Amino acid sequence: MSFQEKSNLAVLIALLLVFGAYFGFVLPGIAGGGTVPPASAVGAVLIGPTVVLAVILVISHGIIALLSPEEAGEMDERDQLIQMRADARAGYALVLGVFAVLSLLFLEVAPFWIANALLGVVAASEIVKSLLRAIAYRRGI
Amino acid sequence: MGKGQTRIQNRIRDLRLAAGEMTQADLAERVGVTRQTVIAMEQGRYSPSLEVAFRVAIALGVRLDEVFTYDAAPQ
Repeated sequence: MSFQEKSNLAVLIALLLVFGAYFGFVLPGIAGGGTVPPASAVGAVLIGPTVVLAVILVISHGIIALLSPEEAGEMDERDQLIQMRADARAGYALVLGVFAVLSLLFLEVAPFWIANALLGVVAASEIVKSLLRAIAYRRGI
Repeated sequence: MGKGQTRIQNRIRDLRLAAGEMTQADLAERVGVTRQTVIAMEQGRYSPSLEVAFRVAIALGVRLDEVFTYDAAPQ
């Protein structure tokens, strides 16, 4: 398994863990309080999963690089092609999701929920991207 | 032909072994790709760019059409 494939798997696992925990436990906990946080609290709430994700990715990539230092950062044309194809396809999911979230504006949904819906769309498109890359690495392109 | 397989066939593995038991890592280094890309090419899971294909042929010391062939039969 190449450095880029290991890196992609680390990203996929981190995305599933962090956003699974956030949307599965943290967000329902906030919503269960009965009051919707004000718009000013959106940034503070959303920064949590982003920071946790960044920390996990830095640590996991450090470990991967330590285990095979000679391959660290190596990328060739196959890696680039796999990444470009996955980026393009995940881009469609992102655009569709953003348009779906925009429809929430017409329903006068609270900014807190719109921000979370956008975060969910971005997380979902990143997960789709990593899944497509993982499949391409295993099955070929 | 399975999904992800290519119609471009190659003899990289045979030619590599014929060239003094060259390892996949050796070939990868000479061509400038990762060892995993050499493995994917040998297994027919990746068709390289024309430039990498030429570099593979040069590294193996043969002509391009001795390494790669194209199955033009209709699917």
